[in-house]
Amino acid sequence: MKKLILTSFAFTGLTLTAWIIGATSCARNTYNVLIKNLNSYPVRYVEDNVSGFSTREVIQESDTISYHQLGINTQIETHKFLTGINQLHLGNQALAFKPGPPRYNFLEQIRSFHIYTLNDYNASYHAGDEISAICDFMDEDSRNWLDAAAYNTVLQSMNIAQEYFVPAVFCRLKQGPAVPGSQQQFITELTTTDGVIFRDTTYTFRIY
Amino acid sequence: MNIKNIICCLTLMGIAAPGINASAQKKKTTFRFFAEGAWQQQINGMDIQGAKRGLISLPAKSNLGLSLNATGEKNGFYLRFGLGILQQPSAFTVTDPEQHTVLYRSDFTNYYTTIKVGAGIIAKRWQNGSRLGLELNYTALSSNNNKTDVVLVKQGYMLSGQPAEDVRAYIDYDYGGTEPVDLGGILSLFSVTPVYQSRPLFGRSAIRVGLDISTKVGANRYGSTNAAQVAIFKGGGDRTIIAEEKYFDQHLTIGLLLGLTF
Repeated sequence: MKKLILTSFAFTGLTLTAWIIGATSCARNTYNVLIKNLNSYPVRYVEDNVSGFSTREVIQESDTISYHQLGINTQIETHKFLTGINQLHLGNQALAFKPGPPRYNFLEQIRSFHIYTLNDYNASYHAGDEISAICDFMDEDSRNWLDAAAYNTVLQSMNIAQEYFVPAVFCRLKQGPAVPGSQQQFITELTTTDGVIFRDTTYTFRIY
Repeated sequence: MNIKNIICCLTLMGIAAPGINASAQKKKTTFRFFAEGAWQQQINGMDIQGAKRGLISLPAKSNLGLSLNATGEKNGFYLRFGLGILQQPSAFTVTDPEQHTVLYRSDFTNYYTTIKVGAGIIAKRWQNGSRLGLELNYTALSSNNNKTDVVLVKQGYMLSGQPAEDVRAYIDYDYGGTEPVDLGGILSLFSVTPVYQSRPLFGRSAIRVGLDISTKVGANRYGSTNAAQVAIFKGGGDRTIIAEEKYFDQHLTIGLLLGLTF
């Protein structure tokens, strides 16, 4: 019996040693991220020049809005794949000590963002034309409005290593439609550095 | 404690108990060296999250190992310590669930340095010097030859009349998983091994034959040495996931040990 106990103790000791070493490993959860799709919709954008606060209210389909207050919000939805989990290594069940913040590894980088009109907008922009040139885009970091070229430069400068990814693109129109109250619909297009193209179409609404 | 290790201990008690009284009454500690070769058959899909839906298929391969060991015995109880290498080939294939074609195939051979420590009892000893022992072993594995990769399988399609391409499959895999990034990179094998050692056949040298049943635990990802996760998208610009699967490969091997004492 003594030998059996000794054997069991030796084995259990080795097991516990490995278990404790596993427990002290506090790797945080890491995710690989791929773009899933775009979701574009119009919002009423109201900026308070005094306080600096702004509000964004989603416009319902067939609503009418002034182009001064119109914003097009494009949400970039993603797939997140868990690649590393913070847990003890014996048994795949228990969590280790307090995990750190999650880490995201973005597998795709954005090369450009464009916006097109589906209907005749004004004398310069007809159905199917790109209207990025008459849009201002918000740089969410600096809260400044940028033109299309400057904004695309910002998008291209994003670095995977910085664990930073733009969750949404927000733009507003600088010109109104030729026919006030006309029905309008827009297509947003995002291209990755690998040449993959994502598109989404807003629902129809009226602009004056 | 892990359920697998509890099972190992219980197995030891069940097998060894009848043979305890058969151990010889030796007082002196004896030391021996032996070389040991191992052949292990991988038994895959043991994990509950293993391959189930047929996206990932795993050929069960065989490991080969070689080690040099020292052992010391007293009163029918012995300890062993060994250094060795282990060759472990691994592979997997990802199949398109709709077209039933192979989207991706990968294989990799890993070489581990092994440190094995174990405790055993001699369950039976025969008059001619041969004996039957039962060992519980812990093996720490280390490799500098790991492989981790993320593969995006792309397929072409027509977008507004123009050729374009999109990601059809996301494949993320990890062979080895013992990078010394943190202490979690330790990989462990626990094994239960009945060993028969012959009487001295070549001078003092005897042959050892063992049945090795080992379970693998501990790595820096999911507690497995080889892991992959796959997501298949609808494709053609639609990133809707139509099938998803993860696998954690062999947690169990059964093998044959052949050794020579000197």
